[in-house]
Amino acid sequence: MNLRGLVLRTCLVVGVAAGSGGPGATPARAQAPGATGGDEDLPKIRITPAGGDLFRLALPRAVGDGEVARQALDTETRDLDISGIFHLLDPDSFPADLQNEGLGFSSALWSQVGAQGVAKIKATRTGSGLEIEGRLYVLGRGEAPVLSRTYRAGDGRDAVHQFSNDVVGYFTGQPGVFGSRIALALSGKGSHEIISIDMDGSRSQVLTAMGSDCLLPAYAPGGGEVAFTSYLRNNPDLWLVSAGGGRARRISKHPGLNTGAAWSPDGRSLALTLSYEGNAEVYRINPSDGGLQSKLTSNPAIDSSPSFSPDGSQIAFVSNRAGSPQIYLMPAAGGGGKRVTFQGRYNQTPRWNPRVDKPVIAFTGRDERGVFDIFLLDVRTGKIDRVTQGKGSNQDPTWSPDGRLLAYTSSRGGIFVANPETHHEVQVWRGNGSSPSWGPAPRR
Amino acid sequence: MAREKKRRAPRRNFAGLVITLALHAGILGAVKIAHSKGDEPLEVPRDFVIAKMVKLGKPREKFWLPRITQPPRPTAPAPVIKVAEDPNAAKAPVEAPRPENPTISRDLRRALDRARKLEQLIPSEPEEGQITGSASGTAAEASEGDAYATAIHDAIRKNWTTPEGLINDAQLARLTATIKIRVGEDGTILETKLLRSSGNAFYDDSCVTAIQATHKVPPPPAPVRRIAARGYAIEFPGKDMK
Repeated sequence: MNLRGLVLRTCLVVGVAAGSGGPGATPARAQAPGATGGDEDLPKIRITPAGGDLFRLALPRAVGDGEVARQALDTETRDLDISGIFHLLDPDSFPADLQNEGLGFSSALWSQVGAQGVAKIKATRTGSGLEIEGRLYVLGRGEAPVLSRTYRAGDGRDAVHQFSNDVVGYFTGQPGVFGSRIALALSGKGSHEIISIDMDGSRSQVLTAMGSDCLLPAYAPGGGEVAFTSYLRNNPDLWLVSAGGGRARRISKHPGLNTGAAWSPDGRSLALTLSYEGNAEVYRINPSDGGLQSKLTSNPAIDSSPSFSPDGSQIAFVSNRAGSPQIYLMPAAGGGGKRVTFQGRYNQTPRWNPRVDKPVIAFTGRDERGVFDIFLLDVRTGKIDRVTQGKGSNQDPTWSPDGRLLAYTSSRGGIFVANPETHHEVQVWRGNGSSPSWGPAPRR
Repeated sequence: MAREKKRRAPRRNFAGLVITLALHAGILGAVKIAHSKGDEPLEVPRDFVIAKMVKLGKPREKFWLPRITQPPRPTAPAPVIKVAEDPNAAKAPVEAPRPENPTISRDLRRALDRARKLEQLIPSEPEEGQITGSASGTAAEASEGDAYATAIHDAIRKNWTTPEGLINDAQLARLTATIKIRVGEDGTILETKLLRSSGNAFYDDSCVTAIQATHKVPPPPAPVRRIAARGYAIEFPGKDMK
């Protein structure tokens, strides 16, 4: 009896304990998924990182005066394409509702064509030129424009460039460089003068009338003058010409080479290659009178193609002191020379990115197949990245004034502009030209 | 009396053994009841591991200049504006279309026909897997929870692209956004809520847009409906976790 009672009592105690755990736990379990409503303990699904795509921007038909509106849209399309940060949607894919929406915006409709943003313009002729009303809408930012501004300019292109610059500025935090100029030396048949073009290839202007071979132009930091080498006096002398063209003046006429000039960021010096002492070395001269400031290299090898760092403290240059042309760095005061490229057997034309926060040098490298392409050297890490590949031979890079784009010549013909981050590339000018130099936008 | 006591001793030992067994059985039973999973929802795995294998081929010489590992982006849609021309360039003469070489064309056609016939002779081997499998799936079998989470993953991922050009690689490596979604019985995404911002508005937008564009995922199977209705935290890392 005692034994039976003890067993029964034990089972009862255990049963109660178990029972108290069960019902007590049941509400808790029921609460965990639904009743608490907390988002912290949701089951997590991690999406495999996506490939990148450019921001999908729609540019619908421009509103306003027929032909003027069409031209304005063409300019805007080209600008935003060159920026390399947008995937411009095919305007033919937009239904009529969207084409005729005017300057208004319906995010629901635009999301159906896959747009992430829409840039709209209205072009109107004014007495003194053109007025552009620009609107930028971004899906997910409501129905109101994130940018709405009116631009006026004598030349309609300038008004559109201003809007394009603001659109780029909205996305990158830094306005675009539309309207800036690229100087280049004509080559091939015909005259070999220095010309300049808008960075979209338009509005070309011949700057020189030397009647002889001109090469290696270099825009001054302020964009007021262009230095170049000409054989007018049967020697490769250094000349300066106004960025607007006109009579050139000779500033360096040492016997032998006076070539490959690069302006210091403050505009007070020109670094260039001179060979009057017998060997090609890098020197600094005064741009106003050509007076020698200092000799920067002194080496039995050939030293050439200098390029200043944006803070003016260092100079990148090319030397074959290790046997083949490679990129070296030295202090801007000269002396020494530290080799910085160890990949490739033929690296030349270093161009330092003008952004102080981005110590990167673009250069032309010849790969193992003998093809020239554009590469980037990270000065901090020594890492080299490739910008062009598998599209002809590409040479002579030059940075846009904001350091976001690169222009270069290509065996495909003419000048190409690429965004080195996205590898988006656009041919901006078709013709025979060499050694482009990208300068700032002129004051209009 | 002493004999009586000796006779009762084995009986007491037997009773003690029975009590001990009963106690153990009771405790084990209680523990089992307490941890019963009777009405608990299925546990869904919290993470996926995607394997990447190195491509077959020769290693590149260290002293060679690097190559672009990803193919360059195709250039933008057909330009609407003509590329500016060199003022010196002479107009290229318009070339008349060349007449078709009948011999070459006939030979070419024959070669193509032969290639097509040969192709038909070789039966293509079907990919091993499941017809309901994922394009990026690697496993031969999937558990229920995994399979549905993978279906959601695949549906969203194909609509997700990061805004290249607006965010560079270094920034991308630091960005992760988490978005809650709730899924209805028919697979419709009922709610989208940014749980944790990446700190970059363009990146967050790309994640939200991916879910909005997805709009609908496969309907959840019965065992995971409650979980789907409660929601998932969709995590969008900018770069693969190393």
